[in-house]
Amino acid sequence: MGQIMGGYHARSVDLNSDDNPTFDPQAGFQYERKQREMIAKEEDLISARIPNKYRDYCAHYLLDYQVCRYKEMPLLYRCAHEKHNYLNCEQQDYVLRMKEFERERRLRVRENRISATA
Amino acid sequence: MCFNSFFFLFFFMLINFFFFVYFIMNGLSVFFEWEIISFNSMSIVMSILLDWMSLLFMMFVSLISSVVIFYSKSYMNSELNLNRLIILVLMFVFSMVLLIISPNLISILLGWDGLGLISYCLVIYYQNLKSYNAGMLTALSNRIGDVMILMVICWIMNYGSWNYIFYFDFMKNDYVMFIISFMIIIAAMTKSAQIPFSSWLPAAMAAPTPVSALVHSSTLVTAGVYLLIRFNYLLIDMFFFKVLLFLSILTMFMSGISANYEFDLKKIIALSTLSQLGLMMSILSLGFPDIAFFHLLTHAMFKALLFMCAGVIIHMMNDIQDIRYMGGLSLYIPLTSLCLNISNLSLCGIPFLSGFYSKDLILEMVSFNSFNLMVFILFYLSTGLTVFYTFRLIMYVMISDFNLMMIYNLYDEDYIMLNSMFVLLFMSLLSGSFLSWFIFFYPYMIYLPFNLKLMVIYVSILGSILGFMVSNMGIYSLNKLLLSYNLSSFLCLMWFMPNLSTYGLSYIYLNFSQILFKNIDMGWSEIYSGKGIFNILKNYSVFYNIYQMNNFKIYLFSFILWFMILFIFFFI
Amino acid sequence: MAQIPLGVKTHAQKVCSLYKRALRNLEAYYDRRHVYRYQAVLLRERFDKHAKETNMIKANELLKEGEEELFLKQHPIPKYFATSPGGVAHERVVTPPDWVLDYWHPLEKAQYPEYFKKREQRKKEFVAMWEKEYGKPDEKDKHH
Repeated sequence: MGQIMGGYHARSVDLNSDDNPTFDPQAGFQYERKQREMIAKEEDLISARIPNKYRDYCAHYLLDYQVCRYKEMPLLYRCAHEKHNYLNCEQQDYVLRMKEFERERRLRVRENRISATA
Repeated sequence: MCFNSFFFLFFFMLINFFFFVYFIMNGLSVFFEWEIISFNSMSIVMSILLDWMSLLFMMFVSLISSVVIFYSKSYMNSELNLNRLIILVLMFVFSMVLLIISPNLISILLGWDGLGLISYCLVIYYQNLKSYNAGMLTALSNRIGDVMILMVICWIMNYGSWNYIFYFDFMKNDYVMFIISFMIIIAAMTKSAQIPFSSWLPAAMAAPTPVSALVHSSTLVTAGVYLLIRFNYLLIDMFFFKVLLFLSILTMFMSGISANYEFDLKKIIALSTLSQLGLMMSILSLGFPDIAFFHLLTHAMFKALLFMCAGVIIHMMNDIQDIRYMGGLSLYIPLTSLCLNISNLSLCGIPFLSGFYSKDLILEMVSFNSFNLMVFILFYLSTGLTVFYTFRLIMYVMISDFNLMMIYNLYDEDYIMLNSMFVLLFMSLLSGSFLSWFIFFYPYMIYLPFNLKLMVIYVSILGSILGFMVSNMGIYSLNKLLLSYNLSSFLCLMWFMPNLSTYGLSYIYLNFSQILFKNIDMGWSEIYSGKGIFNILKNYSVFYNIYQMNNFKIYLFSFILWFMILFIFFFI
Repeated sequence: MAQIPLGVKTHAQKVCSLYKRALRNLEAYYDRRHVYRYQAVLLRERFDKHAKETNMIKANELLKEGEEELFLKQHPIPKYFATSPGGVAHERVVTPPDWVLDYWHPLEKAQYPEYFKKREQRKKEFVAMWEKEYGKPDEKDKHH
């Protein structure tokens, strides 16, 4: 529901949820931003047969969770720690994407404001 | 017979449980194939697919059916022909198991048809007029689904295989696949009683209560949802999933409203089943088949328990099912009211009971992903309505003043019925958390604002307050508004949809056929073929009889005639 | 039953029937007994106001209006007892009629010899009792 409100707020600059960022990643930052890197290795993901949509930047925590699941089955409540780590990582990734979206929207608004006054 | 089948099914459940844990641990999925005929390039095989989903579902089905058979030993002990009922229930479980484990549409059809037919036999078990009508309604509605699956079998021959495991959504642009998905969805809708076909489920409450606990709460009506979960990879992103979303949300909403105005205990529980089925179908059509499966399983547990508690209450009141005759029973049947309360609260989604895990997860997924505003509103409204009619039911049956219908019959300590309910109670408390660890291999991350997360609690509290107020009968001005005749009869008769789909569809044709019958069958075709020819022949034979009988007169007359002719001929 | 109903109802019977149906309708709406009792007393007062009406035209009009009001205000889900017509458990167990036993195959009848001997005896006694009360049947009634 909050996504609907946030998305609606961004319609005025023609920005949808699946759009890619169009501005320079370094613009406006004092420090140097690095590209995010995958910590989990490709062959680990392939051998664990994790579906494609879960092979994101938090996949190393997912691999730990799957290993713990296999070891602790059927007493799966013992994997709560690994699950909590994975969900935390996912939440921070989500917050990061929210911030990227908001940055994109603000840069577009700024560009509109600059081109309107110019 | 009862105890034998109970032990057999319980043992079957234990086997399934061990295999389920083993399969899920190793990620195994076993596919048996027996070749029946193999000729040139055509081969007919019989196959069985055992993966964790089918084993888990079979475990739940066999647990509920074993408990129900044990329960019906005591519930139906006045029944002379109990063996018939047990055999029918066993055949039902067999066709359900056949449906669960088969990957191809032909054996799914065998199980599906078996389910429909045997549920008809079970609904008409008591031989009164209501049961016959209800049985006709059930059988005909399910028949539409059977026809749809038959047509899917024909169409899917185009692609070479009847198995669903070979089809994924890369085929969605094909026109034939479009038709196939449409028919599969219609078939699942008839079995799971979504909006155009929802009239059979409240009517099928004419069946005996243990049968309702097994059939109409957990197995027959979830067969449609199970079919769609299995076909999910094929059907996702098809247009009709959006139609299914619309219809299932409407079903959820409509049955929630109707349950608030209904006064028959089993019909209220049937409408609550309908509402939860709408919930399962809608979360399935939003693209989350595993959450739908989770809710299917937890719902089976507490709904079967709810039906069994209702059975104890009905048994006590000497077959009265109307909640207006009941009141204040919680003081007198403490154990049954314990089970009733826990299953009702689990249905509402009270935190940490089993229904909470599935229902809350569904609502959080709806809030987290960006869907339509209408979808959001109707989901939460239906959740509030669920709490509303649940609290109304508890108020009427348990908490209000004692209504003095049956004083001497308040017998709670029937240990056979209680033991079977306790098994389900145990499972209903624990299965939520147990399953939520097992089923989700990849956990869902949900990140919601605080108030949205608590929205479920707000809606539940609001629903419970309203339920308390409405059933209290102390606030007459509010009740007069809610009970005004036109509004209440519209809302409690399920928006007149049963009437539309039974009288509305057939009345015009019956009228026309009566006109045809009177005018053609009994009118003109009688003149030209039946009575008419008879009359003609009769009149002619009467006429010719004169000539046969008056032989001498005719002979003399012909003599005179020839005489006159010869006279004229010779003398002129 | 003892007497066959006449088919014509007196005005008093119609009014009593209307009153009873109206009371049952109230019971469907107000299910707590004390509330129902209050409403039933109010209804009785409405009926009692016109109880001593001697003008039959006015009385018939009142009856018609009462029927109309009852029809408009009937409860969509009336309260029936379970084993009465319209209820849920009506005619749940149907016992087969007695003449069905006459159609059994002789081999099946041989499984219960004592019962069927007694049954023949009972049939003879029944025919004797009937003929004692109503006389022998006419010859004309036997063959059509």
